[in-house]
This record gives sequence, structure tokens and C-alpha cells, in this order.
Amino acid sequence: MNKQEFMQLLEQRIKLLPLSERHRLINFYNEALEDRIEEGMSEEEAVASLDGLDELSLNLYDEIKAAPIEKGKRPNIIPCAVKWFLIVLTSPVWLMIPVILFILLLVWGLLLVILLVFGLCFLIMAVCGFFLMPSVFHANFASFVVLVGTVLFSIGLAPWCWFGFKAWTPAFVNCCKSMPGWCLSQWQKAVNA
Amino acid sequence: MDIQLKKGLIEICVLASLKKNDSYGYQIIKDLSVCVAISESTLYPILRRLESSECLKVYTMEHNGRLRKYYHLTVKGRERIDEFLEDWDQIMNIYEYIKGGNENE
Repeated sequence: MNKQEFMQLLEQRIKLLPLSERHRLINFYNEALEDRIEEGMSEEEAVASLDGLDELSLNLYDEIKAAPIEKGKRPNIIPCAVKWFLIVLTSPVWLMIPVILFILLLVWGLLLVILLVFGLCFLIMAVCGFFLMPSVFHANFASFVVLVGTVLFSIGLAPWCWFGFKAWTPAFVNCCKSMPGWCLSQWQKAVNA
Repeated sequence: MDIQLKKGLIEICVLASLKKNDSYGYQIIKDLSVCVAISESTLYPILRRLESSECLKVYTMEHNGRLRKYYHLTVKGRERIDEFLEDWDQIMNIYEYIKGGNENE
């Protein structure tokens, strides 16, 4: 076996190693053969002085412990430049997803604020109306009836606002916390795909 | 000899072969042949491991119109040899213990 044949066989045997490792190894063996040839050996003698290829590849896989390309894992067939081009080209679509999510969260937050503010307003109205009742009753009966109606209306709505705020706030906080992570993970998945 | 023990000893031998001068793969094999016969398939992973553990530094130099990789022993590599020599007494004690055990049988 001459040097070229040996190197071709070596390349075949180590094809499951990572590319950088393959280059290093081929250079190493090329150098080893060149050194032997330089010393006066023929190509065949130099190749014969090395380990057999079976022993060599077994030794290397055992020693390097570089995992072969995982079986079942889809090889990445899209070149990096093309992948980035596609990411930029489709950016109007995928960029809209976090924007829409952000707007939805904003609306949700606004609704919660409204619920809280309205709830507090109804509570204040109910308390104030209750304490104003005697003086309004003595001043004007019609105004007193309107005031009683307002107080009852406020007492009726304040708890609903409060319960609504209390029930939706944890879900809102969770969404706010997890949304950036989710967007980031989707981005990473897309880049790694 | 036990494979792991042999690997460990060869590692130290490789480091020791670089103590005086920088060297290259084939020369290291020839230098070590006086005490242990190793091949490229044994040497390559050892050099790789020593390089990644920063016991060796690699540089490339031109030789007869081609590039050749040279290995240089680092301070960490020297410390590794010293550690091995310091541990030698302990190894000898183990050896004596094992030998004594065999003799008693």
C-alpha cells in the first residue's frame, strides 16, 4: 500500500470524527509518513511501519472518545449563509409574532390596571356615599335616592373588579416572565434547525 | 501491563522527552523506543490530551519545504513531571506491598 492509498483508507475510517479532528489526524499521519520517507524508507515501508488501519481506527475512537455523528440526527444540510439569508428574508413574518404577543400583553396589562382603578374608585365611592347619606337625606330626598343607588352599584361592582384583578394577575405575571424566554427558545430552535 | 497505568506512564514519558528540546511526532516515538514501543495511534491521542490540558504547546515550523508540527513543554507540563516524581515514593510503597503480598503466598 502506498501513501496515497493509506491516506484514502484513513480518511474513510475516520469519517465519523468531527471535521477539525479529521484534519488534525490526517496532517499528523501525513507528517509521520513524510518523516519516515525522509529517513530513507520507501512509501510502502513507511506505511507498513504504522499500525494496521483496523487497530488504528479502533484505538483512535476509543481514545479520542469523539462521538460519531449521532445516528438518526438529521444532518444540517442548509449552509450557514443561506440560513441567515432565509432568517432575514422571513423576518417580517417571525418578527411579528413577538410584536403581536407584546401588544396582547400590553392590552391585558391595561385591562388589569383598569380593573384595579375602577375597583378602587367603586370602593371609595361606596365608602364616601355611605358616610354622606345622612347629610344628603336631610338636604334632598331625590339626591339621597340617587346616592343610595350609586352606593349599592359601587358595592356591587367593586368586588367583581377586585376578583377579576386578583384572578388574572398571576397568569399575566407568568406570561410576562415566560414570554421573552419562549421567544428566545423559538429563535434558537429556528437558528439550529 | 494495565492499559490505564501504561497510558499514564507514556504520558509522562512523552512530557519527559520534551524536557530538553521541542520535538515532533516521529522523533518522540523514536526517543521513547529505548524504554517503550509506541505507535502513532497511541501517541496522537496522548499528544492531543496533553495539548488540551495545556501541558504542551504546539507550533508549526517549515522543514524541507513542508510544515511540521513541533511540541513544546509548558510550565504546567514540567509541573506534571515533578508531581509524578514526587508521587514515585508512594508508587514504590504500593509496589512493595503488592510484591510482599505475593511473596507471603
